[in-house]
Formats: sequence, structure tokens, C-alpha cells
Amino acid sequence: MADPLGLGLLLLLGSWAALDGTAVGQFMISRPLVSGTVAGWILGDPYAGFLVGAVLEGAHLGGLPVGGARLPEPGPAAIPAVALAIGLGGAGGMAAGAALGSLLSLVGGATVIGQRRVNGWVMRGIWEGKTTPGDLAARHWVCIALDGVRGAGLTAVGVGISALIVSRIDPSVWGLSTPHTVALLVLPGALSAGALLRAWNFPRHRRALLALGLLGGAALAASL
Amino acid sequence: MASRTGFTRLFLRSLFIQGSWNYRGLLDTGLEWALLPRVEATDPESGESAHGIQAAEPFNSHPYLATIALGAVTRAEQEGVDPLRIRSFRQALRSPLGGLGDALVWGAWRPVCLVAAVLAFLAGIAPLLVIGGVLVLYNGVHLALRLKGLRVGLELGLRVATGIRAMRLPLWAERIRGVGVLLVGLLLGMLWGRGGESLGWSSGWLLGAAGLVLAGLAAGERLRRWGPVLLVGLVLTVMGLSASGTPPSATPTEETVQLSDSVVEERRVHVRNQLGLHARPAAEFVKIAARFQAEIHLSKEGLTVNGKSIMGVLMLAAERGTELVIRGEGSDAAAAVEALGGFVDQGFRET
Repeated sequence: MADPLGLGLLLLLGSWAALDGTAVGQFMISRPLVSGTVAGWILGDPYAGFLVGAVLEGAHLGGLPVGGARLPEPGPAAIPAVALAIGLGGAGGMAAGAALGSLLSLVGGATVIGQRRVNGWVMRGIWEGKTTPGDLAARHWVCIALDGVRGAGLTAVGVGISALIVSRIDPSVWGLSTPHTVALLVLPGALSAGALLRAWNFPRHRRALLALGLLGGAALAASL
Repeated sequence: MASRTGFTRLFLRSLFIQGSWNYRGLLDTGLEWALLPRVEATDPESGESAHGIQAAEPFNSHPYLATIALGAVTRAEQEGVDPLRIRSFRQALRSPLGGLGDALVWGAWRPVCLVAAVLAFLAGIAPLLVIGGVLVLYNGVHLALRLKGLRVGLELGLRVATGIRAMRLPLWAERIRGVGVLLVGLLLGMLWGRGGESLGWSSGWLLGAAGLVLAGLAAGERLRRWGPVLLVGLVLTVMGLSASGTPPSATPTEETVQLSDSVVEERRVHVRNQLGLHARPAAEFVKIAARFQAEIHLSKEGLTVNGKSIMGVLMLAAERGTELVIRGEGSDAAAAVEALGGFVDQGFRET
């Protein structure tokens, strides 16, 4: 599925994607569209990476991390999803990859909750009494390091599952053609799009904007 | 005011401020860590200073706007404000910085950038270029917000509320949401247009997608976390139906479509150019195919797609050396296959 260098790069990417979503920077590396495309590039097929990332992005787009709320974590999950899609190939591979990515994103979300509990345990001394700057800094960096390890671990497990599926499953059993598979995988994105529009409020002038966009998009689809 | 070095240190530390986020104090330990340079400057060993470590009560903020609190607390401590008053001030900032940032960034700017990225891809721009462009666009605003927040906080100290109002963040969020509605409309329109061409306008798939958009619109918050669960459910259902031998779709796949009284022409070609069948040649291939009445199908290693669909052609992800089969069915199939085969043989006319 990937040579040792490629595998190492995937784990680094998974670690970065996890850190970006929770602890460091929030530069959007943690979005599946970004991490999926980069994973596809590492594996030699950025197109497949973008497509799987876009499907996962659509499914997760409606969830907004408001306050301390945690949701599924699709960034690191997109990496094994893309590995599986490329490994199996074709429409069946894309569907299997998207499903695996969604499942792993739910697992990832649960590990984020666990990580934050561990952070509380690591930092407990800070609230219990006097602490030194060096102690606070050390504990803070330990939390960040643990989060990076969590991301790499999730990615490693996911890529392992992908490799196992590639070796065991025949993708030709997938019963839908490519256009129908794309239609199937876009359906959750349709739900998210509706929810997102609702979250953005929907006064009359915005309905006109939406109608304008729909017509423009249909015209673009016909011309491209 | 902080020196240039102090300003840079605070800014860089703001990037790591969420590192120890936890359910007890939320962002309080991260904020204290980011503020450490002022304690270390006093006594690196004991941390004793007029403004020692104060991680005693929960603090939270959107990470990009946490720089406002960093700057304001730093300024207040430099001015010798009573620590208890600073603690109250931190508490007062908690809700506005969280609410404003979530609405502007997570709720508007980020989804708009992601939708724009997918639109750019559908318009034929190469994926790595799309991702590079959207990261630059998104993070330009992201970093500008962090820098502006730090400046405002350092300038105004405990009077920072006036600076936050002057940034007019709710107004920007509203404007970005307006652009977002237009872009989501464009995306849905493009997908429906492509879907109509590939699947047929009377297809139940399009009705299903429309129904889900309406369901999302009606239910909003209650349904929007269900996207990944729905995705897994749909794929597993189709897998189950496929494994049990039940056709999951009544619509025939490309491989089984037969047109009576039509000419069938087929040609095997190899991708010759360095970059493979990427976005530009894929768009050109689709344009050439669209000039002919014949149905065009393109196959790679058993996977067959509609040769008149940019999405389908791109999904083949054919690299250099890949063998493709171009199959035309219809009265002008021979001419279509000849033109398309020539285009591939010429390395997509790329030097």
C-alpha cells in the first residue's frame, strides 16, 4: 500500500492533522479535504485523495465545534480512507474508503474526549497549589506531545485496517456503477448542506441568493 | 506596550494555546502558559512576581481571538492593575470571545473556504493547487485575526471591549454567510447538473438528494451531526445488497447499456504525458466528447465511466503509461473515438 517512507509520511500527516484540529495552530490541515488530498499525493493519487476528502468533508461539514463541544474527528481518519480507496481502486474502493473514514472519525472524536481528560490529569498540579513556570511549561508540552502520538496512533491503526481490507476484499463485488456511487456518497453532503444553510439563517434575500447560485451552478455544469 | 520581541513571543505562543485544553479549566492553563514570559522575566526559578500563575478559574475563547485576552491581560499587568480585577476581566471575556469567534470562523469562514475549494476543483483546477490556494486564503484571514486581536488587546488593556466592537466581527460573519449561501447554491446546482446528465433527470437519486437538503433545512442543528453515520449506513446497505446478489439499483450500469441500431467503436490508447490525465486534459477530453452524439465510455482496468462527465473522467486518475479503452456507441462513434484517441495519443497536446 505504501513504502516505509510513504508510511512514515502518512503517520506524520496523521499526527499533524490531529494536533491541528485540537492543540496547535488550527490551520485547517485537520479538514479531511486537506489531509485527504495530501495523503493522496503521498500515495501517488491526489485526485482520489481529493474526492474521498470531499465526500468526508460533505458528511462532516454541518458539525461546528462550538465552545468545548467535540464532534467526529475526520482529519486523521481521511488518511486511511484515502489509502483504502486507492488500494482497492474504482467506485467500490471509494465507497469503502469513505465508510471507513466516517467510522474512524467517530472513533477519533471519542479519543479527543479521552485526550482532554488526560490533559486535565496531567495539569492537575496547576490547580492544586503553587507551581513554577518550568513545571507549567513541561506539563503543557506533554499534553501536546500526547495529542501528536494519539493522531499518529489513530492513523497507524486505520492504515493497518485499510491494508487488511485490501488483502481480503474483492472490490468488484460493489454493485453500483461509478456515477451511482458518486450520487450515493454525495447524499450525506446534501443533508449537511441543508443543515448549514439553516444555521446561517435564511431570510428572504438569502433565498434569492440560493436560487441564483442553483441556477448559476446548473449553467456552469452544462458549460464545463 | 510589549516590545517587538514580546509581541512576537505572545503571537507565536497563541498558536499553541489550546495545547492543554481540558474539561476542568478549559483554556486556562494554555492562557497561563502563553503568558509565562512575564513571569519568567521576574524569577525563572520560583515564578514569584506581582502577577504569578493564575490558572484558578475556567477560561475559554475561540483560539484565534484568544490573542485579544493575551494582549489585554499583558497590558493590564504592565499597568499594575489589581490581580483580582484582572481575574474578573478574564471571566468577563470568556463568553464574547468564544461566541464571536465560533460564529465568524467555524460557522462561516471555514465552511465557505471549503465549499469554494470543491467548486474550484469542479471547475477543473488541479487538487493540489486548490488545496494550496484555499489554505493561503483561509490562513491569511486566520493570521490577520490573531495579529489584530493581539494589537487591540495590547493597546487597550481592560478597555478592550471598545476595540472588539470596532472589529465588527458579527457584521463580517453575516457578510461571509451571505457569500456562503451563494456558494452552496452554486455547488448544489453544479452537482445536480452533473447528476442529471449522468443519472438522468428523472432519477430517484436527485429527488433523494433534494429531500435530504430539505430535511437538513427543516431540522438544522438536530440532523447536522448525522452526516458520517448516514454515509456509513448507505455504504453498508449497498454492500449488503451487493453481497446478497440483489441489484442495488434498477438503473443499468454503463457496462450493460446497449443501444440498438448503433455503431460501436472501441480503441485502446496509452496515457503518454508526464502528469497523466489531470484536470486540464480531462476537461478537454470531455469537451471533445461533447461534440459528438455518440455515447462515450472510458475504461481503466475494468472501471468504466461516462466520457462526457468531468467527474467520471477525473475519477479514473489515470497516470502516465495507463492503458485506457475509449468506447463509442452511436451513429458518429467512429469519428468520436478517432478524435479522442488522437487527443490521448498526442499526450493531451502537452509539451
